[in-house]
Amino acid sequence: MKFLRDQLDAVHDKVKPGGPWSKIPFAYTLYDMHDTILFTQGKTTPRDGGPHVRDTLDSKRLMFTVVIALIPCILWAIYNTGAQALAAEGVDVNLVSASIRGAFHFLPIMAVTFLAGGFWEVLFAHIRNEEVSEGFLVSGMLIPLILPPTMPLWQVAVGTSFGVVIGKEVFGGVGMNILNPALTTRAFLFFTYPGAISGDQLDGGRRVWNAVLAVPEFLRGLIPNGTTVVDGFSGATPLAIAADESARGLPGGGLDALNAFASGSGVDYSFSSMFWGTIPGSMGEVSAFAALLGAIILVVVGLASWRIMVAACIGLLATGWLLSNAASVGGNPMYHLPPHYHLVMGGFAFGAAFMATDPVTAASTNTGKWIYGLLIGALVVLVRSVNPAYPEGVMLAILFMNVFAPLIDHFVVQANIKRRKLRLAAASA
Amino acid sequence: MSDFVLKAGLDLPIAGGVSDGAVAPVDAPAQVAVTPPDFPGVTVRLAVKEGDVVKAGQPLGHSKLCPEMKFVSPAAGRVAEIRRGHRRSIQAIVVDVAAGETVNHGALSADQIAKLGDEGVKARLLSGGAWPLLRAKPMAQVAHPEQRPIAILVSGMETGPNCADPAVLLDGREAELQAGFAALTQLAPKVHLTHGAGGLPSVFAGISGLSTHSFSGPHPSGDPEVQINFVCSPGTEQIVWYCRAVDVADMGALLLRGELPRTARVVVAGGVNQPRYVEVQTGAPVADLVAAAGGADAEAFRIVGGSVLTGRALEANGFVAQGCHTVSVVPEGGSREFMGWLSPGADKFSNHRMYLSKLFGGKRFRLTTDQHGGPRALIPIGSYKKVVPSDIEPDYLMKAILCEDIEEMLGLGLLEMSREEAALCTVVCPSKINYSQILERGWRQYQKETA
Repeated sequence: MKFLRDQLDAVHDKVKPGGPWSKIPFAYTLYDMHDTILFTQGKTTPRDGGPHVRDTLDSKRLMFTVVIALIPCILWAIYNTGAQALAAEGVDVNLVSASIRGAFHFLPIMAVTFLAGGFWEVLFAHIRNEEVSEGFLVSGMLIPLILPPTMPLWQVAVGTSFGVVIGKEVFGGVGMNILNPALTTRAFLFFTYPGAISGDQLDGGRRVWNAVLAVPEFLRGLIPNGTTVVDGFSGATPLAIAADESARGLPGGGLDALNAFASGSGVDYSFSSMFWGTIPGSMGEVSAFAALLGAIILVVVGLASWRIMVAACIGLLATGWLLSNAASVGGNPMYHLPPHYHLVMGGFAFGAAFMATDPVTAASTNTGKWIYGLLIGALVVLVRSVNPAYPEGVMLAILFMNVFAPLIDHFVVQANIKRRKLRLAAASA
Repeated sequence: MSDFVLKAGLDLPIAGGVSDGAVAPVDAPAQVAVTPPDFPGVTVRLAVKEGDVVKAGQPLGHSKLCPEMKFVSPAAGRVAEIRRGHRRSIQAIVVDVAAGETVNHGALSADQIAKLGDEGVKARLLSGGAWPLLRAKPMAQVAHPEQRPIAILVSGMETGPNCADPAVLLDGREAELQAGFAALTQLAPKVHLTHGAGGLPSVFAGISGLSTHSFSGPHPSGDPEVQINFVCSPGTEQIVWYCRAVDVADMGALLLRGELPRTARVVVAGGVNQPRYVEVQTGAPVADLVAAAGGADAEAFRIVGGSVLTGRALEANGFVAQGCHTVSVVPEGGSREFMGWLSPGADKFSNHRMYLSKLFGGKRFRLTTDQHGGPRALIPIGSYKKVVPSDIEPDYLMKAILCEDIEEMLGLGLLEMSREEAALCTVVCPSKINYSQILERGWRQYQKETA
């Protein structure tokens, strides 16, 4: 490693202020970023005033640990995307072929996300004269996971730029943002290019989930059978089916619609298939099981709040239960959905595990976390059920509560201030 | 009498602790010193100049705000050097030790001490040089004799990392403790004594007029500044004085014999070859102590007067402060490890469950001064709350201080937060934010606005 260290030190001499390369834009910022990724920073604690020792944990390790927790979702995203694409084309699916095929969809989106987001991170770090923050490591992994594989790459780049710049950098960067940058990206794309997110644009607006078209032209030749464009498979997400107007007449509402769809098309939208994630959808969100694995990792290492996750589930089940009791035949079909179906449908599991618990944008007091989580769960069901325009409510619920998290914390903190006043009054009495 | 069980906190698993209480004597040093920076809130005015011949116990300087508060020479000799630092602030008044006389401030019997009264106790502690051992919360500064404290809290326990055990420091000092507490009870309406879960140590037996409390839990449960939050809440108008039991014994010694103890027991721990307790002349050069503990075990090291949490880094030619019973030696860090953030970390200390080492409880680590990363914005994963036992929302207090919102920071407990808790927050912060410096900044602003 000495050789590598020496090389980096040689570069450092060139890019440091006054060095021959110091005029090159971003030279020092980029050097510092790579230098601190390759080697620990070697800074020591200040001599003036304690403490003189520190915990080993730094934000690189912290963010990297979140990425580790995302691995089940990433692996499943790659496999399932490939499996769904191959199944759509009528090709036999096996682990290898599906994973290779899925990688063709997932990796370009991931690469574009990191390129676009990384560019803004370095630019803003350079302008602010700060070290490049590691926060985008997580956002950059989350963004491809919450997008459908059919997302055009230029839209991914535009969306990521919006999420990073407007969602985060304008507030001062990682740690200062109000909204989750990954969700801001998705919200931007959802409202700006609704067709691309739901697949409407493709194949004459027939809601075809056809990942082949999403693979960039220059990569298509590399895919085995990649040029075969199939239009035999048409599908919609389970949430869209359950919320569809045609389900209104069914006695069991949305649940009957799901079952009917399954028997009609052969696509299994049962509770278990939605839990395991053998369904099409946004790449990383389909499997509640993978999200659960990630959630367990996050809670075990102490990175995400179990309070938020538990509260979100409670809020979701309670609201779902209330609505299913209020359901009447011929009414809103979503009301008929058994509450536990909400847990595995759409992006709830993924959102509750990775998005709602983002420590920067979530409520940060313990009491606040319960309130924040409960309201997210409740809002998810309300948006899904009451508002027929948006079958999926996770993104909107979390973004909405992101905005309210500081207010919730404010009340909890005021309670702390009040307790202190009472203590003082009691002590001086 | 109440029992407080604190859940939050952190016992820093630092290697180099001392297991047995054997105290090794150290030869009399060639120099001793009084070190003003160890007395926060006091500006010291010189009473001597270089070359003056001084007696042991003779004032070398006094407080600028309170001229009666003397800082006395630990030994007789000749003033060798006035060390100055930033903006000519006095860092140390160094005395070359020589044979000479001792100033006696008047020995008293136990009965006489009990009848001294408020003013009498103050006058004797101030002139005899024991007063600066007494500190005031809020803001952890040397107590000002004009203050009217609602109580005095004495911690008879210690939970700090590798800090001197009160059992060793107080061994055989029952009479001095009695005298010291008899004096303290005349200074404030209430005197609290705290002890660990094992019950009141026998050395405190027979002392009357105290309310005793037991504290248990991880550090900082033994810190007097933290204990005050639980025993008697401090506020803008409420001042609580505090010190440690060994300081009370020193005050008692001054009153009983008319002079401060010549020697002090100090633990030298951390990165030294033979961590141990030593009995050493007060104000001795710290290098003598490190040598007595077998020398540092690293090429580059930092000597800290106090614990690694709140101690002051000393120069190699620095001196042990009056009232300082712990010297920590910390190996200097700063080596650049390849891909350090990827390492499983079986040998790395962390209070977060993101390193393998967390699986093996009870392991002790050779902690260095490595900061392990650069500063970032706060990522609130609850690191602070886990180490702050007081009823404070540390994240929000920090934000209020950074916003310079004085009303908000007072409301959120600016005056309750202790140096020890702030230090623990600094240690565990994954964003490498220096909470200790931020707290000091808040205290400075409060002082400025109330001055």
